[in-house]
Amino acid sequence: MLVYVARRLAQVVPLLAVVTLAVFFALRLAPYDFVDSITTPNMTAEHVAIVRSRYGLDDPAWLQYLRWLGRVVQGDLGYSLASQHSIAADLAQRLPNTIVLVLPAYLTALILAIALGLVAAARHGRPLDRLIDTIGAVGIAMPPFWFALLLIYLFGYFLGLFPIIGMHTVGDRGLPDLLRHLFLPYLVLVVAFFPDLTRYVRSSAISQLDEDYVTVQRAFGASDAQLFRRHVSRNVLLPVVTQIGLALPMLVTGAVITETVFSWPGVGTYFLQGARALDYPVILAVLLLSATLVMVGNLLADVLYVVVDPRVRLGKTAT
Amino acid sequence: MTARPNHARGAIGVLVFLALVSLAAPLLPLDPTTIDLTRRSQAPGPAHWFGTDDLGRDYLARVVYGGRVSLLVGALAMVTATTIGTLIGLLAGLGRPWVDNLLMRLVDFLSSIPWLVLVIVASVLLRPGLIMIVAIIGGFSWMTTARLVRAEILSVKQRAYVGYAVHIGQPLPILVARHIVPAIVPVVLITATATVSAAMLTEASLSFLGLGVQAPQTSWGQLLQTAQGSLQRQPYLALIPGLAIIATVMSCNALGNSLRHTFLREAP
Repeated sequence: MLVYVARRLAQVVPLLAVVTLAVFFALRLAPYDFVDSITTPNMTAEHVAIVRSRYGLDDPAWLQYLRWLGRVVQGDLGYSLASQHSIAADLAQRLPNTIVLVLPAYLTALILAIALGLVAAARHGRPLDRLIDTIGAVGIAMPPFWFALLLIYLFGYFLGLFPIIGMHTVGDRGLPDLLRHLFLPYLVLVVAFFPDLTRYVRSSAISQLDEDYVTVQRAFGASDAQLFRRHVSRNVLLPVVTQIGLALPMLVTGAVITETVFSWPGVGTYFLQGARALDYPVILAVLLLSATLVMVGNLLADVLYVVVDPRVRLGKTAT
Repeated sequence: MTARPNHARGAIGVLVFLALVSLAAPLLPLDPTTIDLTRRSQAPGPAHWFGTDDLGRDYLARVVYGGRVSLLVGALAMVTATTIGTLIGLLAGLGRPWVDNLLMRLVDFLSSIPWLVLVIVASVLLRPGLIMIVAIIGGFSWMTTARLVRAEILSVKQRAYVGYAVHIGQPLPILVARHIVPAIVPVVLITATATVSAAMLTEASLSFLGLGVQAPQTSWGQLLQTAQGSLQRQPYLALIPGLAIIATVMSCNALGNSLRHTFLREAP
């Protein structure tokens, strides 16, 4: 097991190098760069050149890349060109904000999806199943930011119940205030996450119903309730566990649009700001972080699967 | 979505209606561009069914013309992604092992960056016009198609009739045209409907973030971005384009499910 994890991690490193390399050079190919966004047309060419060299942007691209990579390996993500802040410090400040929003929303969506998916499967083809299916179909087709606008209008403007911007009221750092700010974006994310998960649970549960053990249990006179509680739900949870691993990157980039609509000070708004300004250290840092999480998440999914399902063993071929 | 024939009929009805309105828009008495400051921000009424926006432009016309762009982007991005995905899938499925390996690593690589992040970076870099948006969305949406086409080919290759065809010495082009291509058509069609949906939602997101369709051109996502500013006074400006997106995407998905049901005899 440990050998397997180590080998998989060893594969992650070159892939990350390729990801960063590709993005780094893609950023160099842009017809304009960060300097264009802070200089004005009435500056002299020399002035612009001085600005460019001060940021190290007149060095050859490969040198800039190596310099960046060398610092990243030491855990230094560099400095934002626009704000001069340390990116690692900025991320350390913003990452918890995103996690506090995404994690509860994802867990709620997951629990909701397991419940709805199992109920739908148990009532397969009947009105309740169709209802859940239709809700899911609408949810999948709905742009999350549109749902956010509806909620902002309804709860923010019309009813005046919840704040619609930011994370805290100025001067109020209390938990109740945070929860009030959290509510609307949280709701948007739950609605954005649960339809796909519900379908996944439902179709896994339905496919379980064709298994021999279900026939056997039925033959012994098990009721549907017993069958679902004791057998089907346990088997459905196996693939669901792997979904948790695959969801890991969402902790960073799962809420870019939702954060933007609600001006939530998380990684999503930070990334979007950086991307707009072509602030390449920021773009690279967020890409590196999220690509790492995708790969670690995939690994985690595989490992979790082995942990929960003793039938699966990682052989030498399982790479 | 439970795939029943009347569902598919409803979905096709919605899509045909939208396509007809979009194609016929220049013939209809609709004017999305004339600014009339005496009719700013009017509520829906007989003269302006969907009201007017803050520059006094007829909102029904804006929605119809926005839909033209949204649907066009969705359709063209789908064509781009499906073409690339099918070709890569064919190459990977039929090519030598090293080609297959290389292409699948490329798919893994592109899939290892969260998709929205990838698309945002690309659109910031390429300051998009309409063609660029299509290229970005289409160029990053082909991975699923490629994977599925490849998987389908690998399974077709195992079937006895393909084995016989190889055995009697059928040349490769004929083999591909007669046996491989027909086998992958259902997968390609089904994935294509999902790709249209995904492309339209992506265009809406990008335009909403201000990175997609730019004024004076408009799309449903761009209308939503504008509507955000007057949400408190005119919530219906946000409501309408959103409903249009949902109706279109739901119809595409229902059509895809119906195709899956028909071709693959898969239980709903």
